[in-house]
Amino acid sequence: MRVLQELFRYEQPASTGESLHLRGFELFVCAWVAHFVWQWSPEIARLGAVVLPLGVANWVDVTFMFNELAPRINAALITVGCLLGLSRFARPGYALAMLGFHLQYAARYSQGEISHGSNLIGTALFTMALGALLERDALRARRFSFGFSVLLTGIGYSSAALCKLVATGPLWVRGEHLVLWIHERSIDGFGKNGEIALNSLQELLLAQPLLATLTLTFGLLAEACGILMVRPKLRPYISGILMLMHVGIWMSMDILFEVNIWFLVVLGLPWGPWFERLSGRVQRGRMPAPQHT
Amino acid sequence: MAAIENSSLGRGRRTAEGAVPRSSENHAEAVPASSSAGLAGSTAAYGRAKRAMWLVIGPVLILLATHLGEFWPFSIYPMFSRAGRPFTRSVVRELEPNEPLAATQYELAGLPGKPFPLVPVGIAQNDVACFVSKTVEWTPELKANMQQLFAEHTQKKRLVVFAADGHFGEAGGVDVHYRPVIELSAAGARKLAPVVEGAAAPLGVDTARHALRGRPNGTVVEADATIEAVLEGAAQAAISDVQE
Repeated sequence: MRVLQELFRYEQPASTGESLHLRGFELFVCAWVAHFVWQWSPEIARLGAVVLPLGVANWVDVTFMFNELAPRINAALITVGCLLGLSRFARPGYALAMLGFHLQYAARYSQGEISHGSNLIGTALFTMALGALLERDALRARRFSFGFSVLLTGIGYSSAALCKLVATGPLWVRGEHLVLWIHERSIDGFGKNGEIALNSLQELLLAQPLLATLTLTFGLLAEACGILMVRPKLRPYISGILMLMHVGIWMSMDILFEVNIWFLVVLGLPWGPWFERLSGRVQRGRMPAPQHT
Repeated sequence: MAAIENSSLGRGRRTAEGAVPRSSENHAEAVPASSSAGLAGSTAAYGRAKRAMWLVIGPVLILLATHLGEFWPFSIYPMFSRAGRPFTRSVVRELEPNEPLAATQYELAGLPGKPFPLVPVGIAQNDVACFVSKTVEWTPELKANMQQLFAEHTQKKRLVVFAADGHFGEAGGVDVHYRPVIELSAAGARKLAPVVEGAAAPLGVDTARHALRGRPNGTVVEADATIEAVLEGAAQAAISDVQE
C-alpha cells in the first residue's frame, strides 16, 4: 500500500504546481506522439514488405499501411485521439490514439529494426489511456497515469540491467565489449555519412579499456537502480543518473536517446514542488514588510 | 500557497487557506481528500489502481513471454545485452556501371566504388543494416523491398549494399570485413552473397552456421538456395541487440 501511496498520492492535497506538472506531462507525451506518427508516415510509405513482424503485425498483415494515404490517415486519427484525451472531451480518446500508435509503430518498424526510441512515450500514452478510462476524476486520472508511468519506466530500466546480467553475466562490464560496440557504431556512421570519424571520447575509450570498463559499470548500475524511481525522494537523483548515462551513451556510441532524456526531465524532476517554492517566494516578495514600532 | 479549487487552470477560484484539495472536473467525487469521504474515495481509488495494474501486468507479461520480449510499447529492453558477439551492419557504395565487383570479402581500404551516404538521401541506416543482418531468405518480395527503399536513386546509379561483419580479432583488436550482399540498379535487384566463414549471422543461428564450415572463403553463390536454406527457420530468433 505504501508503494501505491507514493506512486499515486491520491490522499494528498492538490496544488497548482502539481497540476501544472501533470498537465505538462500529458502535453509532452501527446506532442511526442504527434511527432512520431507524422514523422513515420512518409517512411512507412516507402516500405514494401514485412521483414520482422512486431506487435500486431504478427497477426495482421500491415502491408496495407505501405502507401501514401493510410499512415497519414492513421496519424490524423491518433492526433485527434490525443486532442480528445488532452481536452478530456472524450475519455476514450487516448485509448483510440494508443491503438493507432501501436499500428503505426508495427508498420514503421517492420524492417528488422527494433526501435526503443518511442517505447517510453508509448508506455506513457498507454497509462494515460488507462487512467482516463479508470478514473472519472481528472486529477486522479492524471495522478494514476503519472505514477504508473514512473513504475513502468523504473521497471524498464531495471529490466534492461537484468537482461544484460542474464545474457552475458557480470562480465558484461568488460571494456572490450564497449570497444566492439564503438567499432560497430563507427560502421553505422560510415553508412550514414560516408566516412568513419571517432570523437575524442571514443578514441580515449578505445585506448583505455579500464576506462571503458568503468563506463560500462556505471551504465549497468544506473540501469539497475531504475526501479528506485518509485520512491519520490530518490526520483530526481535516479533520473539524473539515468540522464547522465544516456549522455554517456550518446558521446561514446553516438546513439542519442533524445526522447528518454527529455522524458526523464519531465517525469523525474520535482517540477511541482519547485513551482510551489518559486511561487511562494514571489508571493512573499510581494507582501508588505512587517511594521516595527 | 493558494490553490486553484477547480482543476481547470485559469477558471479556478483561489482560496486563502493555502493548498486545498482539488475537486473533480467532472464533479464525480468533488470532496476534499482530507475529509472522511475523501479518504474513503482515495482508498477505493487505490483499490481500482491496484486491480487495474494487475490486470495489465498479467497480459503484458504473457505478451512479452510469447513475443521474444518485445510487444511495443512494452519491452524487456534487451538492447546491448549480448556483449562481445560479432555484429553485422551495412554500408552502401556507388559503383561505376562497368566497375568490377569481386565476389569476395573486402577490407575497408579496398572497397570498390565511392560512399553513398544515407543521411543526405533520407534513408535510415538502421533500416538498411537491420534488413541486411536479419534477412535470412532473400525472397523476390524482399529484394523488391530493398530496391524500393532506394528507388529514387537506382535509375541513374548502380548501388551495392555491403554487409560489414565485425568481430574480435586474434590480435586483440576488432576486425571488420565487407561483403557485397545485393546490387541495386535500373536493371533491378541482384542478390550476391559470398560465403564467408566466421561472419556474423542473425542471432540464434550459430548452430545452423556450423553447417557452412568447409566452404571455401569467397565462394559466391546465388544465395537464394544455399545460406538461406541452411539458416531457414532461424529468422524468428533474430530479435537481437537493438539500436535506437
